[in-house]
Amino acid sequence: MVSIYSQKSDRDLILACQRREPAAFEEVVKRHQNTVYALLFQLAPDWTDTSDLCQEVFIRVWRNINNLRNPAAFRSWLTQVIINLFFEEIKSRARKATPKRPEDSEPLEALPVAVETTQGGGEELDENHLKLSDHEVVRKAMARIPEQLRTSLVLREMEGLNYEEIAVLTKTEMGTVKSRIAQARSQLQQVLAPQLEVALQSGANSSS
Amino acid sequence: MIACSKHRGNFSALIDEQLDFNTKFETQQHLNDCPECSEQLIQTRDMQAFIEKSLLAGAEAQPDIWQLLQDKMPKVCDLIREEYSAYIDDEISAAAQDGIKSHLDTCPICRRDFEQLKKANEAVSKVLKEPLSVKVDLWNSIKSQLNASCALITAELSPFIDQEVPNQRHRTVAAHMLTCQNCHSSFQKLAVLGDYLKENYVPDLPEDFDLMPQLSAKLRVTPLPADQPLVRNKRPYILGAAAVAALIGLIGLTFLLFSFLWREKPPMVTSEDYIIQYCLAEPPEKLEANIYDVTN
Repeated sequence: MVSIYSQKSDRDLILACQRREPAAFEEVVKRHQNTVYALLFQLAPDWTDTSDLCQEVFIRVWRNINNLRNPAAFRSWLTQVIINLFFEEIKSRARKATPKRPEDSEPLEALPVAVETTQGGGEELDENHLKLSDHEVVRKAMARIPEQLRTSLVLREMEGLNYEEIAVLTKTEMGTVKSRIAQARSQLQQVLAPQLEVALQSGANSSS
Repeated sequence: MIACSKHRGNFSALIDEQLDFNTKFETQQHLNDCPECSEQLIQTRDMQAFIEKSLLAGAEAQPDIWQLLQDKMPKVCDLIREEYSAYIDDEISAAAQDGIKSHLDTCPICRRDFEQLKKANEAVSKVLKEPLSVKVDLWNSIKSQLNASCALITAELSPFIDQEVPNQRHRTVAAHMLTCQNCHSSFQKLAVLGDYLKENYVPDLPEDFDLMPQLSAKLRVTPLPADQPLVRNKRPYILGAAAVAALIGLIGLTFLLFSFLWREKPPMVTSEDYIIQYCLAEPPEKLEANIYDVTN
C-alpha cells in the first residue's frame, strides 16, 4: 500500500511524527524496522525476544519523538534509543540472575568450519546452505565474546560509526572504545580462524 | 634486753657517724654498761670494714675503659680520609671543615692523599660534562623503532582499518606493510573479518516482517487509510462546517428581520378581545374565575 508518506524523506516523516500523525509513524516503522531488528539481533544474538524489544524501541520513538531537536539526525537518535534499551535490558537480565550457559565459560577455541565439512560434496550443495552455516558460526562466535566488546564492534562494523560516536553512545572514553574493538577483533580472529582463512583464500582466488 | 635491742638498731648509724648528739651519748652510755652490746658493735664494725675492703678490691680490679678504647678507636687520619669527598663538595659543617683543614696542615700523608683525590675529582667532572660537539638525536632512533616494530604496528591495525589513526601514523603503518609481509598478512586477516561479519552476521528476517500490527495494538494508533491522506480529508469537513455556519447565519438574520417587522406593526387587540380569546382557549372550569378576575 503506497501512502503519501512513502515518498517523503526521513526528515519530513519525523516532522510529521512530531505533529503526531500516525500514518507518518507507520511509514517510519516500515522504513526502519529491519535495521532496528538487525542491530538488536547483532548486539544480542542469543536473546529470543528481539521482536518485542524492537517494538519497545518504536514505542519509545513515538513517545519521545518531540525530544529530537534535529529531525535530520533521526538515524543516530534511533541508534541511541536502541543502545539505551539494550543496556537497560542487560542490567535487568543480570538482576534476574539467570544461570550461566555452559558455553560461556568455555575457552575461546576455533569453531569448526562449516564449509570444510561440505566441501567434499560442494558441487551438490547450493550456496545458501553454505551461507546458512556461516551465519550460525558467526552467531555463535559473536555470542561468545563479552557484550561490551561485541557492542563496540557491532557499532563499528555494522553501523559504521567512528570511535568518537561509539564512545558517546556507550558512555565511555575513546581509548576504551579503541581497545575494546581491537580486543573483539582479536578474539573473533581466534574463534573464526578457519572460516577467515577460507574467506581470505576465496578472496585471493576471486581477485586473481 | 629491751634497751639492748633499742640501741643495737643505732649501731650502723653510729659507725657511720650519723647519730645526733643525744642518741649518740645514750648509745655510748649503754655500750659502757653492756659488754654484749659492746661486742656486737665490734662485730658490726668489723663486718662493715670487711665490706668496704671488698668493694675497694673490686674497684681496683675494674679495667680502664679509655685505655682499652684507645686501641680500638679509628685513627683520625682514617676518619678525615672518609670525609674528603664531602669536604670537597662543601657538604660538611664549618667545625668539621676547620678540623680537616688543620689536620691537612699538620699531616703530610693526608695532605698528599687529599690532593690526589681532588685532582681525580676535577678530571672526572671535566669528562662528565656534556661535550658540545656531540649531538644526540634520540627521536630518529625511536622513530625508526616505532616504524619497524611489528608488534607495535600489529597492535595498531584495528584502528588503522577504522581510519582512526592520525594521518602521519596512518601513512607510516601503510608504508611498513608494503615491506613487511607478516604485518600485511595480519592486516588482510583483520580486514577480511569485517567483510565476513557484514556478510554473515545478519538476522534471518522473513520477507513479510512487519512490526506495525503489533505496534498499533500496543499504541492504540489507528492509522488512516493511505489512499485518503489526512490533509485532503480535512477539506470536506471545512466546507460542510462553512455551509452549516452560513445557513445558521441566514436563519438568524431572517428571524431578526421578522421580529423587527413584528415589533413595528403590533396587532391591535382590545382587552375584551384578549379575554374572549383567552377564555376560549382555556378549559371551561377556569373560565369563570378568569372572567371574574378581569371584571374585578
